[in-house]
Amino acid sequence: MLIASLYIFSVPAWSVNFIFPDTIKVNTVTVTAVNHSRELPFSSFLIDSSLIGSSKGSDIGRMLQYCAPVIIKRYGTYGLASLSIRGMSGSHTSVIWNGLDVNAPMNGQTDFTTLPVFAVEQMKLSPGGSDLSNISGTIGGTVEMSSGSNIPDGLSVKGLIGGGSYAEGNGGVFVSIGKRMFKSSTKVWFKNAKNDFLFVNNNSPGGPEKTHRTNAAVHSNGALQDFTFLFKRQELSAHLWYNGTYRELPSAVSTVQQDLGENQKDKSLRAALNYKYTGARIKLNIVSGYVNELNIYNYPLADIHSNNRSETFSFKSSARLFGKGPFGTSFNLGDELQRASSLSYENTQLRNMLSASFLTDYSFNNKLMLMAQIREMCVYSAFSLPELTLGASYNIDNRGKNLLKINVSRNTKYPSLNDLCWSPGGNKELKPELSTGGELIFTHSGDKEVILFSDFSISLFDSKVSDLIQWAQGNNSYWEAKNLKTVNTGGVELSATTCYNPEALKLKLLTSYAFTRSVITDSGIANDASVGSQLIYTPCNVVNMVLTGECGIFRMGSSMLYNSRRYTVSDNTHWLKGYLLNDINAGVSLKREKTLFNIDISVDNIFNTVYESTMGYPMPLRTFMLDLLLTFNLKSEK
Amino acid sequence: MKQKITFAILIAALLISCNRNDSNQFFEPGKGVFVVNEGNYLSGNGSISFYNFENGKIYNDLFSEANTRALGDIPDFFATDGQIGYIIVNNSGTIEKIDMATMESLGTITDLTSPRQMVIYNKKGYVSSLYSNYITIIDLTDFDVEGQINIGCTSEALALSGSTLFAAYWSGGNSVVAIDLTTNEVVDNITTGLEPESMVIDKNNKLWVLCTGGWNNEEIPQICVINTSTHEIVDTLRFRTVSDNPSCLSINSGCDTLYYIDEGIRRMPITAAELPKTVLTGAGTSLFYKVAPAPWKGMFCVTDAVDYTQTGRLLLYDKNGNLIDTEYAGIIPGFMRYTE
Repeated sequence: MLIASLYIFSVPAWSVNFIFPDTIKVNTVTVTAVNHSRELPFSSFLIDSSLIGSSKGSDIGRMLQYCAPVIIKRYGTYGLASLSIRGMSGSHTSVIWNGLDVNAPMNGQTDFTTLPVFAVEQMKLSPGGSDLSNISGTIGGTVEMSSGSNIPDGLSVKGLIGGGSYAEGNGGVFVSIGKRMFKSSTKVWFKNAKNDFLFVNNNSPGGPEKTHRTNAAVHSNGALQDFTFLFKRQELSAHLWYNGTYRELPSAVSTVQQDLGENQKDKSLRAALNYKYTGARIKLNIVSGYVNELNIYNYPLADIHSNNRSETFSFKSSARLFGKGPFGTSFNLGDELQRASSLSYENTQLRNMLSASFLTDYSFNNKLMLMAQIREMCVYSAFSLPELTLGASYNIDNRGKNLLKINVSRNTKYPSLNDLCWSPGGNKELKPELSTGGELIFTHSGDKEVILFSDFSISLFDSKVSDLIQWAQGNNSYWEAKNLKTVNTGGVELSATTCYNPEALKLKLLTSYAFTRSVITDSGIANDASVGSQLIYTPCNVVNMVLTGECGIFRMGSSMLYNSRRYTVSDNTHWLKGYLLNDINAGVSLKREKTLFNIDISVDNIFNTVYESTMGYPMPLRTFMLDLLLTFNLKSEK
Repeated sequence: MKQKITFAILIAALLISCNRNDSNQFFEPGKGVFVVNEGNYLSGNGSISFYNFENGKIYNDLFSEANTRALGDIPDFFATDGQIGYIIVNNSGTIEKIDMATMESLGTITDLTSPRQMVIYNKKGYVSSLYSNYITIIDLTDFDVEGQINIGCTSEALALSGSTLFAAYWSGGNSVVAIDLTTNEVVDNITTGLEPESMVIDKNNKLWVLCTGGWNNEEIPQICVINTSTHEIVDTLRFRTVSDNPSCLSINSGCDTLYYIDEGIRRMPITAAELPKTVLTGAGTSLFYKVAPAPWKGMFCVTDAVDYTQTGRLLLYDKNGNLIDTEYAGIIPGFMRYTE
């Protein structure tokens, strides 16, 4: 796991995906891919850095839904947003920031609404759970984020202010300082929105009506500090991230909209300290970190309140050994101590997860690489069954342009603390969910030197997930967490990037498509009609597309997202119809000496599509946003 | 030419009117039972089904068929007044007034605080609330909120004896509040077992209250028998252990036989000195949610919620507890109301 973080963040090339170029231009720095990482037989996508740069005022969930084969389930514009990969739920997606697992240990997932794009510079998406280098396993996939990377030399000050429909306003100040051996990045930001958007209530007793959303405001702010010290072969970085969000929680709209006054406050503090060493024979990475999360929920009308607090202490170390021969080995050792308290826990809960993994690979003439990876975990001082991944990569053309990869894996995901300890219904007898499957991947990297080139990848995957945890009615009057169902999930992921760069014009088209069949194949529930049915909120077809263009000082873009029908009941008798969203944006960059002034306007949902991501939670019709970004760059003298 | 156009318009109007008539044939009213399907919490997919005893067919999604819109989130009660029905939609905070012959909505009251059940007295509806301390009074003639009665606690099950309304303080409570409907004032507060969940009045005007013992099995469940005149508890029937989970106390149309769910369906006459030791019919692989004795031939209906996430079933039993029909209803089929 630790090694993974080393590979991912200390050497960005390791994370270079199979869709995007082997070289990523970050200001004047060009990072070139290392073949070994590309050859690892896993599926992964680096999120296009230009998208991250142009989505500053947005949240990460919203950005990802337009550019990656993922599903975002969102309770309204600023409600809980979970990210699903390969047909699994949000709790099956690991989220890692600067090497730290930041999933809340209580519910085992991350609310992507509370993750602003402000806070990251690089993102990588790894569908599937076959890579065993993390401390604990995942089944859906992993989202990895990093901050403080790629800070150029000199002083850069950015000020962002934006405003839009329904009293939305956001802003931030970002200051970075870079010298040869020292980099610092400071960011502070805020976001407010009344969010009383217009929507169409088709079930209103008086007939369909357009009405404004109530009790939906959001106020958030955050700060992030990154320090990086660079030595010859060593790098030490420290990261500190505070994020606070207060949200009113609008009611579900079934027939009428009620103003029930629900609200929620989330605060998080994340700190990571990374040490990296890159030698001729060994590459080391050590990460230690701390995550503190607070979640306070209030429903005054029903006198329901919750106060959930969790802390996670993490330590990871990884080492990659480079031999002279065809063998390579990696070792990971990590420990994560989780501590959580809640009004719904009988007492403070502690859980320690210790894990070690070992990877070895063997390369035949740079043509074929075989890999084996094994992980052993110790949770609550009990050892798990070893997890195993076997894989191979075949370099079709000897130049690394076309790769064929395959892996088979057996990996697990441990229950969340809520599954185990929530009172009532938590079940300490729960077994980890077990996934057994494999994937076949083909990637092509186009020739970046030509005007028109494309990268693309296609992944076929299939896995059987058994002992899936579900909350169901128990013997008492309350619900209990149980290992109830078996699901077979399989499908295809396609991703492509096409760039057209004649002299005065730069066009880029990012497309992805996911076909996912996640079918319940077995159930511990009597008379269960859901067997043979698609998992709820898992569309069979997801398509997204982002087209961006730049010509001189002007730029424009268009985004499209299609989600097909999503079933809302486990026996597939009810569903939300599919929806197609289209957004457009345009901007201009004005430069005067060391100052750059960007003006961008965007229109979301331009065709006024009426849709719900989660049943009962309408999303806005057309909205507008204007962003102004002022950048002052002062390069240091060499 | 004008005549042709007029003729065409007439034909079109006739066809449209035929279609309208046809649209009312999506269910066949008659001797049967309406089933209130609660739907999934926050999903707004509650619905109404009707099982016709005469042809043995079930008709689902009646409200949305008739009104081309959803009924709402967690409908959980159905009160009737002749051919007019009142559907209490708990989590939408609404009451739908419907014509039971056509299922068409005749009006909607909105902005109620978590309404649960309703009884009708003197052309007024009295509605309990899970989250507020008020019984809401509905003027059924104007179909509008007329007022509220502060009972000092939340309420769930309601029972009417003469002009006295009994309201059970279920959620975390242990009492039944007596309200005089001639003055709309609380006249008594009767302490019962923990969490009085359901209650009925027998032919001797005794109030039978099933107390679950608390959601976390705090105490042994019990049935309290209350004299509706003196408000005294005249008998207490205790269940076996603290982990028993009885629910849904119901009474037959003759008001002399009680039914409830406890590891299956149990039945007892109101004269019984103790609770039945055996079940009339076991739940088997079903998840029994509600039981309702039919006014015909001693039959009774039970709903099977399966796993509370998918389409549930309506199970029909004869007087001996033999299963005679099974039909798919809606999601979480719950409360049942027989046609009169």
